[in-house]
Amino acid sequence: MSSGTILIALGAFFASAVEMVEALTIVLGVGIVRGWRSTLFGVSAAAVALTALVAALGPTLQVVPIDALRLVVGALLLAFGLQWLRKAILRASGYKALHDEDEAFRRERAAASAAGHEQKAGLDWSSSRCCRSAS
Amino acid sequence: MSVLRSFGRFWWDFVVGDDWRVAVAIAAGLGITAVLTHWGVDAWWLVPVFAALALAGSLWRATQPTER
Repeated sequence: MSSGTILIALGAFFASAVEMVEALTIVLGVGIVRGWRSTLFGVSAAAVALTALVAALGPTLQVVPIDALRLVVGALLLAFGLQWLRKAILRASGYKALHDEDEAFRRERAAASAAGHEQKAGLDWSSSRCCRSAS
Repeated sequence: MSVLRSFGRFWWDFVVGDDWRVAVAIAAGLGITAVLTHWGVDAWWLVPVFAALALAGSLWRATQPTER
């Protein structure tokens, strides 16, 4: 494995870790407010669905022309990355409010408390659906 | 229909975000680079220049005091 491949894998890992923190915030908020059984069922269902999707569609990436894939993905990453850098500079310089994970947790917790109590197959369907979406 | 609208809004927020001019600048940079490359001009430097100018312009606009 070359150093370039290692760096790419590390970059993708840390980028995914950032998204994992956001999903974890939602799962924690729902689990604490509405209970863990249905919440963890939703997370497990999402993990199984994601694994199946990657197993089914992952190999088909080889069919896509690599140059076209690089152009599209690179353009999207550039657009998104510039927006992200813009926000980071504005936050660092005080022109934009800092991202508050505590506030996000409080907001998700309030939303989980206010959600209905639909029961399906012995599970709290609201918390299960919420955690499937977050995961 | 709301699923389609949500899907479209996600991609709009992802690509355009807070400032549509940045997305337009990137698209223009890529398009001009493609045309110049087709004509045999070595234009790899154009997209970084467009990106830097778009970012600088967007930051300048965002830090201007708003009219009340």
